[in-house]
Amino acid sequence: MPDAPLTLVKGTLDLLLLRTLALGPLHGVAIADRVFQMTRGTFHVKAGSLFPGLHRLEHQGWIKGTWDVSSDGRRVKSYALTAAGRRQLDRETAEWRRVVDAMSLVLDAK
Amino acid sequence: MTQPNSLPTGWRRRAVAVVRGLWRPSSEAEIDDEIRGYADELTERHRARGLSPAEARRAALLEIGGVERVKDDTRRANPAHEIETFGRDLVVGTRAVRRSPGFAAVVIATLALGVGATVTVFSAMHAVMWRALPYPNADRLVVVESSYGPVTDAGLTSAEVRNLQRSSRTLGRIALANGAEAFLQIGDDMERVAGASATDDVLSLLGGAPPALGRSLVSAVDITAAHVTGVVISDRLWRRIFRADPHVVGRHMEVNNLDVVVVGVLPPGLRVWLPASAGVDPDTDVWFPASLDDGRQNHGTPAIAELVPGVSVAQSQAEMDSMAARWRADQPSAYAAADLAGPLELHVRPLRDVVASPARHELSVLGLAVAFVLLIGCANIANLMLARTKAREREVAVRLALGATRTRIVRQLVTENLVLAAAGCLFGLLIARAGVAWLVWLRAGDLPRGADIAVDAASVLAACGLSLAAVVCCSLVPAFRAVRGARDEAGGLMSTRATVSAVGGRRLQRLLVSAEVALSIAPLFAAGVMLHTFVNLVRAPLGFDAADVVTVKVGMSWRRFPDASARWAAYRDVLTAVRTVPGVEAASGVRPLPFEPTQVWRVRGEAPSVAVVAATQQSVLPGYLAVTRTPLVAGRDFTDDDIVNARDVAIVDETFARAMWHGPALGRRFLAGPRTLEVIGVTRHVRLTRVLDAARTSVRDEAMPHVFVPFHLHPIEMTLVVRTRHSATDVGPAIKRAVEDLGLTRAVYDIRPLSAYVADSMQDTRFAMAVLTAFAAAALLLVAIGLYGTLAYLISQRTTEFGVRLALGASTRQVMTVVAQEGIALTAAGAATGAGGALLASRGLRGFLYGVAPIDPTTLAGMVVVVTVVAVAAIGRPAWRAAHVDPNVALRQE
Repeated sequence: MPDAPLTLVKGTLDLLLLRTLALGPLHGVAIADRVFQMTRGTFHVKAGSLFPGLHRLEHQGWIKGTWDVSSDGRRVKSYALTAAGRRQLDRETAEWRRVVDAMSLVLDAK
Repeated sequence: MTQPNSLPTGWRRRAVAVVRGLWRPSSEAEIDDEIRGYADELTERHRARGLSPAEARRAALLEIGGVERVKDDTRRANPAHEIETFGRDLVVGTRAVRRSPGFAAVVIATLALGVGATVTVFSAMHAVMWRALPYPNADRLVVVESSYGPVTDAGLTSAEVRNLQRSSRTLGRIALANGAEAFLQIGDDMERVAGASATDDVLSLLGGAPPALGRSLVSAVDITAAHVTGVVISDRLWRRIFRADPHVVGRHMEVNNLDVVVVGVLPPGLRVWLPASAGVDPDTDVWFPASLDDGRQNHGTPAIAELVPGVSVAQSQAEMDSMAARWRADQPSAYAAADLAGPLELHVRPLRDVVASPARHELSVLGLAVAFVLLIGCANIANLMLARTKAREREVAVRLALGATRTRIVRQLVTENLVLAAAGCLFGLLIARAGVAWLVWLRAGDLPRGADIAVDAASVLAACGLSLAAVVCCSLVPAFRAVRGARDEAGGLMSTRATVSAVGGRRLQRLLVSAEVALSIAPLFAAGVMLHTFVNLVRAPLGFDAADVVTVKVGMSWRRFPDASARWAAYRDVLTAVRTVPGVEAASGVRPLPFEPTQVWRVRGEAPSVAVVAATQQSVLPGYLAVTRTPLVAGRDFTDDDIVNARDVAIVDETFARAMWHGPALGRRFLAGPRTLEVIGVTRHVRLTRVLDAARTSVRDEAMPHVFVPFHLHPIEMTLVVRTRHSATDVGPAIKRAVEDLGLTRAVYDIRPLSAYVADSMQDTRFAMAVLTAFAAAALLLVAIGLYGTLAYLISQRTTEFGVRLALGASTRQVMTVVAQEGIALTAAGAATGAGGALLASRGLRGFLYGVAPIDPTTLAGMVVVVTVVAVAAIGRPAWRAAHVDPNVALRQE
């Protein structure tokens, strides 16, 4: 059983969403589920941050939403990464790695 | 690794995103759908775990948090969301406005009235008082004048101007301009146009140099042997008499019987704005050169000057103070002697302010009055909005419960009101256009730069900005209150209408209504005393009879008639000729005419008397008293003998006699300048100054003493006064012909009835009265709207209470009394406060009044009654409605 869900550090949500969508187009609930699974329950993205986050990324042109019909026949809006989004994901991933490396150096210093 | 600086810079990306966001906004429906889908899916999941449909839905909604808030945050993700939200609020607002047309109409009407009145007055103040004069470096143009104790606006002599030119470090060019008459000989006709004499720098200071054609005036060249040889003419005159001849420079014309050469033509559209005391017509057609070396000793012409760049008026004033001190020390006989009215002082004031000063007081009073109207309007709007927002507290509570943020709701409510404000401004501007046309029609020609009054961009911006700000302020308070109110009453959804109407809100509304009533008293009172003044003026005895008197101005060449006796001979011939015209019963001459600008004389009693009396004076020909039917109470009129023998005599009015001797005046003597004059006649009190002029000389018009002096003591150009039963238009041509046949070689002009001058004298008062009355009517209307609206609302909030009272057996009358009492209490409280305020505000009116004290209890009481009557009328309908509530309906609302 994982620890209680963490609050998201500012700026990590974008990266999380971009990374999730890099695997393929998904809609709202599925994205939240995927994040939950991938982080093994550490991050539970709620509607209050999920939708504003998705729309923000869409307005930046990094993801693109299209209306589909889901497997159970519901009309859902699913999002896919754009080319610009893929570049942004690379940039943010690289930056995030640098942050993690730097933090680890500090925290692991004996 | 890509560096962040390879990205577009922050602001650029933002701008691009905003444009993209506007281009493709996330539609409301899409966001709704998306989030509803999300909620459905969660619900489905909970059901799959075995919850009942209702429980599943509830769990899903709980998990989401506030749906409204999520939607709102999602909308915010759009960089263009601010603009988008505004647009949506506007649409919602317009819809809300259409749902309550009555409320909208009242708010729009109130705003339109307020904006209309404000823009009208602001346009006038802007055009007359604030707008820069249309001259280069207008902000640096100043007027330099001297004063001797109580004698102000004494101007400067040429020598003093020369002195300042030499020694002042704060003033650049300094010049003198003076109104003059110009009689043009055009073919066989003699015509009078406005002229002015100007020293070399005047035209360049006023933007007339370089001229459109030729050159500006140069006194050293254009004056030869003390005679004017060259003049500059206006564009208007050039087109009219020279048919816009491009080679006009060098052409000759005959002005004032002199042959002169046109040396230049001024640029088109140049209007001359100089201090009123310079007497220069704004549309001067002929400019004569004047030299500063003419040794002219007379004061009275204000100097215009240009401040050195970077120097303030205050700095220049400081220099003038020390300059005046030096002059007083160097030449005590001229500048500090005991026989002067006081020691010399010099004053520097911005030209714009001096030009506007004749109208400043009047416009300031109107500005004050309009401020009251605007304040009442604001109170009205605040009140209406308070009532309306209160009524919508349920709606607000619902939206809060659905998760809408407070800011969001406040914003929505304020935007709704902006729709109203915009509509109000629009209608207000239409009213202002009509209002400005009305002002111009009333008298704008008399106000300096009055013809330029127009609804301009500055006034529109100012007024609309002001009213938008007012509306936003007015709606912010109720909006926050609504949000708080809905929150405080935990579960605003469950509250009934009766409890929603919190006591606090009602208290604020009552206060606002009382304030409105209070604010309306001052403009009403102002209008009341002006009305009173006007009636007094119309009724006040003039001391002469203006009926059946025609006045005729007759020009005369001073070169041809150089001294008093030559002029007297000429006028005697003129009068003889005029008396032979059929229909003429009697004729004489006077200067100035009643209500024309007049100088106030300071005269002293002959020793041992020490009395000093300030009096108006007129120079008259024998027979003037008879023509104007000015009754003599003692003594006799002047005779031809008095003039031929140059006797030192005078006729005074009763007021003069009383002020100087407190008793009989006949045969007594007084000192006027170098002469000692003997009183040979005493008339009834005569009144011939305008109310505002009298205010400026600080002597009440009713009591201004008057002296008539015989022509030879002031041998100035006379205006003929002719007693005839015919109208000016009928008898005018014959008189003109009779005078012109004498070959005086000057024009005969301005043939008008004397009564026209009397009517003109009341123009200021009529203007102030008309405008103030209009404002008072607006104020009254607004108060009526405010009282009616607020009471109607307060009563509708208490429908249940009245229903209960009626059901328990209260009579219709009792309920009406309760309501009426509330209304009357509000009115009374307001009226009492307002009366106090009106008395304070009325000080500003002092200079306008005639025969009315600024604190006039009758008028004040009258106005309080007017407001009360209007208030009772406004209360009537709501009270009646309260008393006829159907108890069944009222109780069922509970």
